[in-house]
Amino acid sequence: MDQFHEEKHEENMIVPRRRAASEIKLLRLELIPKGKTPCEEIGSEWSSAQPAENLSPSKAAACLGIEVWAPASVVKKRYKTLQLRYPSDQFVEKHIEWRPSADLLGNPLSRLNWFWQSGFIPLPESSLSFKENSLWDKENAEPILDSYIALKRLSEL
Amino acid sequence: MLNLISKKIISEITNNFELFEKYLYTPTSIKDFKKFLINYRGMKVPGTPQSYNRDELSKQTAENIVNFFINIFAKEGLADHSEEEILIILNEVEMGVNLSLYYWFGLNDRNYQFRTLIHFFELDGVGSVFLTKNKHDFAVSLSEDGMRFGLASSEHEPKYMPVSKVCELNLFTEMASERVLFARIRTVQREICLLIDDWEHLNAILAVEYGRTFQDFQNLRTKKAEEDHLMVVSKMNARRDTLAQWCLESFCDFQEWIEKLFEFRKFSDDIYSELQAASVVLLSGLQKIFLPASVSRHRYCENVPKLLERYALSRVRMNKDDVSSRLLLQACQSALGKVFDATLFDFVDKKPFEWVFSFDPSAAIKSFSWSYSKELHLVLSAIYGVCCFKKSLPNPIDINFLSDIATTIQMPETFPADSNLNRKIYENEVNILDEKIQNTFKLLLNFIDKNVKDSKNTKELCQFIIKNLQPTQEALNGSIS
Repeated sequence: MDQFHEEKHEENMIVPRRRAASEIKLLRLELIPKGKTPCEEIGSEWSSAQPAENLSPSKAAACLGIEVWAPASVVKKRYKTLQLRYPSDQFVEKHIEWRPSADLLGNPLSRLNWFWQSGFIPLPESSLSFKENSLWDKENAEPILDSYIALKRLSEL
Repeated sequence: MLNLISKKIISEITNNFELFEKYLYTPTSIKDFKKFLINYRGMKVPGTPQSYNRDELSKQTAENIVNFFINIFAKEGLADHSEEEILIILNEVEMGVNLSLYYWFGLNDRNYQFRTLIHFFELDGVGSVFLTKNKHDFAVSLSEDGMRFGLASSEHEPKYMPVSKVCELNLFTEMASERVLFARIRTVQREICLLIDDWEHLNAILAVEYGRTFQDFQNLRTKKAEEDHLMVVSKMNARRDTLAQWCLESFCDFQEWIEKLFEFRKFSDDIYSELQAASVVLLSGLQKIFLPASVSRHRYCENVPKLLERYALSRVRMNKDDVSSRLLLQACQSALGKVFDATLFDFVDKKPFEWVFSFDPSAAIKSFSWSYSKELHLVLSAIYGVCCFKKSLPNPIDINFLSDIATTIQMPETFPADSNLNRKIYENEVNILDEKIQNTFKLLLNFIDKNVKDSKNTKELCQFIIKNLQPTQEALNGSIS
């Protein structure tokens, strides 16, 4: 039945929102109050915020050697370790482009904000295979809900 | 929770899910489908070339899907029950099946959904009667919005079970390990994101359809174009109500779940910040629900403020000093004809650091402004206005806030005449001469006088706000003299 494309999920664990939705995004602008941008920040309707992060969460995570959904404290710790490896005067220069990414990953609000603004949906990491000795593994993630699981859970309600 | 027979039927569908999925995949055997899928945007595609092959397969698929359910109904002895019971069971099964279809997409392509199949094979409305009992016909039919089970005469919109019902929210215990907790909270975050995505997608489809027929009507000015347009409008309005209720049911469940978790107070900071993020993403989703009302002036049915009230109550329980949630709550309660809570005036007197303004409540005030008295709307808008100013002090107010205050005040008159005469409008009594109300107005006028940066734009906005508040001041002076 899969006679044509079997698209693989991107390595960065996010899939674009439905193509249809993004294609008619322009029309959706109509639905947004005048004087407000479509790139609103989560939690506020009037923000003029633009996506602050050019790095995708997956790239940022790769720089730090962690998974996208690592908890804030893990990101901070990892960042600290990296910082210790370099003399302080070199660190800023070397990792200037990593700095926002640590915040992006460590703060759940900024992470969700990135998804919100980018039009991508976060997928669970359990759909991927995990590196050994990783700080983060599939024990921490629940599988994505699909129609079969939904039915099964309903029949057990 | 579900009827026992409904459960048995759903469980039988689950057992045969592979077969059902095979039917959903039938279009892939047609060569043209690939091209169709690439261009598909969630809407009917007029003029899909007919071919003998496709027409045959289309008939076959409809028959297969309909029979799939009919056979299961027969196997579980649905016909042995009374008509009332049958209706309840069919309704529950319909909600379950449609929720399952919400999660379904083929070939790893989110564009390939149940509605894609319906549109490709042009099966909208196809169905068949499977049982007649005491002159009542029960039918299974297919529609672009999902499966329909029930009386053949009812062309109801397909109903969906709330997403939250399959998220195992009650499986949670305080003793769970931190890792499990993370996974739980993230699942909920993801489900919220997916639901909002679907809400936007389905609303975008409605907007495009609306735009198309509206343009046709403008250009052609024919009776037929007008009728087509009105039909699209009425479908759009009905869909907006259904979709909003469906999303809000889940949102309320998620909100109450988050509220419960916050009560535990034993988690690490990591967990709290995840929870906080989940709560905020939920709030953003909620703001989207207002858009059809606050921007497109749709009048939501009464169930929508009822659900929003439930959501707001939970937020107020979490933080009673949150003015935004309190205003949302009051707007919904007023839309349901409940009395005005005078403790809202306390915030007007309090210092700005004694309360929080967690989100912009203007959309909530705007959305239901048509459903209660003008005076009450003015009071709500004035409290909102004062709070905006207080949070900006000592700086002059941002022009966006100022324009929000003005547009909020203006809102009720911008709703077009209501075509539904049965809709309830409450005459919520407020005495505009009440001291607290007059104080609030005075305070707002005072702020407008002192805390607005002068410019051409702000001047107009200020004049508009003053014009709306002043008459009540004059009435007060009149009553004194």
